Parts: sequence; structure tokens; C-alpha cells
Amino acid sequence: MGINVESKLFFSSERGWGEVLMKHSTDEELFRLIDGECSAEEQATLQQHLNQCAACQATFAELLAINQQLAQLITVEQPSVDFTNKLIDKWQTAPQASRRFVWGGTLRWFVISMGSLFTFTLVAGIVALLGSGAGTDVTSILPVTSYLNGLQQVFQNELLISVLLLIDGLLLLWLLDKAVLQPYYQKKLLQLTR
Amino acid sequence: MQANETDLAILDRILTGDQSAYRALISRHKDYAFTVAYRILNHREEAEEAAQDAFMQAFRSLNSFNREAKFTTWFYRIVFNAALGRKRKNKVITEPIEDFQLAGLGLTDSTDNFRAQERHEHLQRALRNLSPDDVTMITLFYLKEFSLEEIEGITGIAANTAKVKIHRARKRLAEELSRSLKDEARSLL
Repeated sequence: MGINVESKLFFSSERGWGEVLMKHSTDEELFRLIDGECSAEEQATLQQHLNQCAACQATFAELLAINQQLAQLITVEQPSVDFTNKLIDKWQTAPQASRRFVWGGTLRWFVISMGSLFTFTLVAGIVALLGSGAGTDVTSILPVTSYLNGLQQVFQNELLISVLLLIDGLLLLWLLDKAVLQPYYQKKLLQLTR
Repeated sequence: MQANETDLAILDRILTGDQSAYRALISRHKDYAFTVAYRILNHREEAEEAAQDAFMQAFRSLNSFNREAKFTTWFYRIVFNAALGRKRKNKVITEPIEDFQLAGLGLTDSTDNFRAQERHEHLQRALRNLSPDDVTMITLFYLKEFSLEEIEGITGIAANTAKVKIHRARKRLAEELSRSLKDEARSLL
């Protein structure tokens, strides 16, 4: 609406004929009324104005009509019946490279626990190395108790350290293969077969 | 979108390798995904392709989905972008959307319904002239499944702005509809 304020003649038994400035409703207010977003007070004010103003009544009728038509027209559509099967087939036949590696469930926990073990091994190895190499008791320089002292002795077992390092190495290789090498070579393969 | 099983529960099943969970996720969202794409593209086959692309992309990126966010917002943003990408790629789309819509509305060619049918055809045409942003916002708003905040997440348009844009788009549609009906009446005289 171009004009938002309009003068209007009125007749009152006390004041006789007079002129008031009438503020038209904005489109936004009318839409808020249609969408049921107005407070009771706002709604009453708008309704009162609509009862008096033919221009706003016409706009309101127009906006109400478009709202009803849109609500009728925009409904949930359904794709073809074989949509799901087609999509499942597409997903199952998608090249591994495009499916990518899904970190999930037990696998994710396995990787996290192996990562923690790796860090733990590394720290423990350093502690053990410090203890044996420097010829000093690590527990005397670090704020730890006999618990660490016990751990130090466990990790001075060379066989245990070797096994843990081997697991860590294998884990690193597996991650490298899964995250870098496999996607790279599968992409190359796809390019060659196209 | 039934609420028997939450989206997150289905995602958990997928992530633990349950293949049937993919089917559950598709069944749950395919109609809405298709509707959003269809409104943007106005072409059933193209919309199906866009919806399928969106599902494939979502499956591939499930690991990057932030579980604190709402799955629907994340997923329908992918749908929106997939449809938008397709629209940009294939500029010429000519399928008339009316044939499907009028059947759905139960309108026939009888004289009683002629005017209503005519108005719907004009409205469809007017809807096609809206920008993809506007048509998506209008679609999501009238599907009544998405809050303004979700519409913001999907289209990237702030909730307050989205509300104003929805008002303006509806106003524009009303004006365009009345103009085209007047033009048609004039041409008949």
C-alpha cells in the first residue's frame, strides 16, 4: 500500500462532523493476522480498523485469498514408487571412493582407544627411557607416587614395549591406507575406466 | 515425517552398519525432500534426481554431521543446494507443473471449478517466477513442518528476514495473480 495514513470524515453526536487521520494496516500486520501471530490486543485493533476501512478490507481479502490458495497448492508431493529402491541401488553400487569411510559405532571407539593407547605408550616409553637412561629414579623428579614407579617397571619390559609399538605402527599404516591410499588409487582407477 | 524413531537413532543404526537404516531414513524424508526440490525445479524427474543426489551426499557426509544440530535442517539444506545446483546447470525446464497439481486438488474442468482452476494455473506460473530462495521459503512455510529458525538453517536467510521475505513474496504473488487475471479478462473482451 502506497499511502499508509488517510484522513477520514466522521460524525459524532457530541462533536458533530470532524476529520481524523486514520492509519492503514500494513501488509505485514495483515499477514501476521492471517498467520495467527498477533496478540489478542493487536488482533482486536486490526479487526476494528478493518471494519472501518474498505481499502484495508480489500487488501486483507486479497492476502487471505492468496494464503488459502498457497496452502491448497503447496502440499507434500510424492516421488515415483521406485525412488527408494533406485536410491539404495545407487548407494550400494557407488564406488568406494565416493562412499568414503564412515567413522561410526564400534569402529570409531576402536580407533579412539587405539589412539589413546598410542599416546599412553609414548608417554610411558619416555618415562621408562628417562628412568633407565639417566640412571635416576624418575619418581624422585616427577610429582608422582609409587603408582608411576610400578608403571615404570612394567614399561621397562622391552617385549611389551615392542608389541605396543608394533600395534601402533600397524594402526598408523591402516589409517594411512584407509584415509589416503585407498581413496587416491580408487579415484585414479575411476579416471582410467571412464 | 513420523516421530516413532528419531533421526539420530536411525543415524546411529547406519553408523553401526545396519543397512536397513538407510531405507528407514529415505522413507522418512523422501517426500519432503522431493517436494522442496520439485518446487525449485518444477520438473518431476529433475526433482527426483536432485533429491537422490542430496541423499547420496548426506550418506557420504554423515560422519561430519554435528549431532547437536537438527538433522532436518542439515539435510534439507543439502536438498536445497542440490536443487539449486541442478537449476543453475539446466536452465531450460518446461514441464508444466499444473497437470499434477490440479489432479491433486481434485479440480475438474467443470464450469464450477473453472475459475478456481484458472487461478491455480496463474498462481503456479507466478510461483515459478519467484527466486529459488523465495520459493523455498514459501514451500517450507506452507508445509508447516519447519520453524523460521529451521528455514534460516536451510536457506541461510536469517529468521526475521525470512519472515519479511515470505510476506513480500506472498504480496508479490497476490499482485501478479490479480494482474494476470485482469490481463486475461481484458483479452477475452
